[in-house]
Amino acid sequence: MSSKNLYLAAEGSAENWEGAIRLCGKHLMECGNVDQDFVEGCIEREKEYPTGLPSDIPVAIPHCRCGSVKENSICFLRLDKPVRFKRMDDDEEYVETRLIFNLAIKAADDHLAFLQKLMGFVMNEDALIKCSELPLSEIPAFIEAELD
Amino acid sequence: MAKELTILVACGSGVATSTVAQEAVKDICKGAGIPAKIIKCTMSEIQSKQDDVDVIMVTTNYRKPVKKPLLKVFGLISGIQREAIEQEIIKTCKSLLD
Repeated sequence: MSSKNLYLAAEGSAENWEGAIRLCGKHLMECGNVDQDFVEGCIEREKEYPTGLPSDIPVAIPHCRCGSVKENSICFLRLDKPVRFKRMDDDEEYVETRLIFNLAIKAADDHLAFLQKLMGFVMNEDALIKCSELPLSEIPAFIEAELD
Repeated sequence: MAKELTILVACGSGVATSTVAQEAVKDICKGAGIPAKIIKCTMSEIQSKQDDVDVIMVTTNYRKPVKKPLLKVFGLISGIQREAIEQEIIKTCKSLLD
């Protein structure tokens, strides 16, 4: 895969899912990779079609098709306390998660292999345990090694 | 018997999960010898696109009424009950072809 994919990792605290997405958006915007429309788009999309995944270790993968995305990127956010995301497969249920992967994807069709690996990754318990435990500074390289 | 099925795969944004589900459905149909054309869309596009397809597959909950058979295929992404979903897809597609 292209080495241009960008991987970020952050820690922080958020009141709720929206705060978590804004935190990811802030990091993605700081490196100039997405614009404000992307962040707002992720929030709007999450309201209508949530992205909480009920895996053994629940995660959320907010993303959208809006705004500008320079390079495919993932901002991993590790929260100090879990927040609730509604579930992708059933929006009357929710997951509580500390692990959020904000996905900024340019054009889906060209990145099938990347997306397949990515979905496999966020469903992979061992990988998620590493994401919970590794020092933050090692996480971008870990995710890159798993996905590239 | 119809020559080819047209399958609509929809997810919330039409970006990530529908792309992965589309590929999975393509493989399942190929493996089962079901001729199928697969298109993907967002959940909000289902209403306008359903007339042109034979079956609709969604990765999230969809509560509005639809005119075509609707399958939930979230398991193709999560791996939860994947085999049961594969069987359901094959069964539904084959009955539509008959």
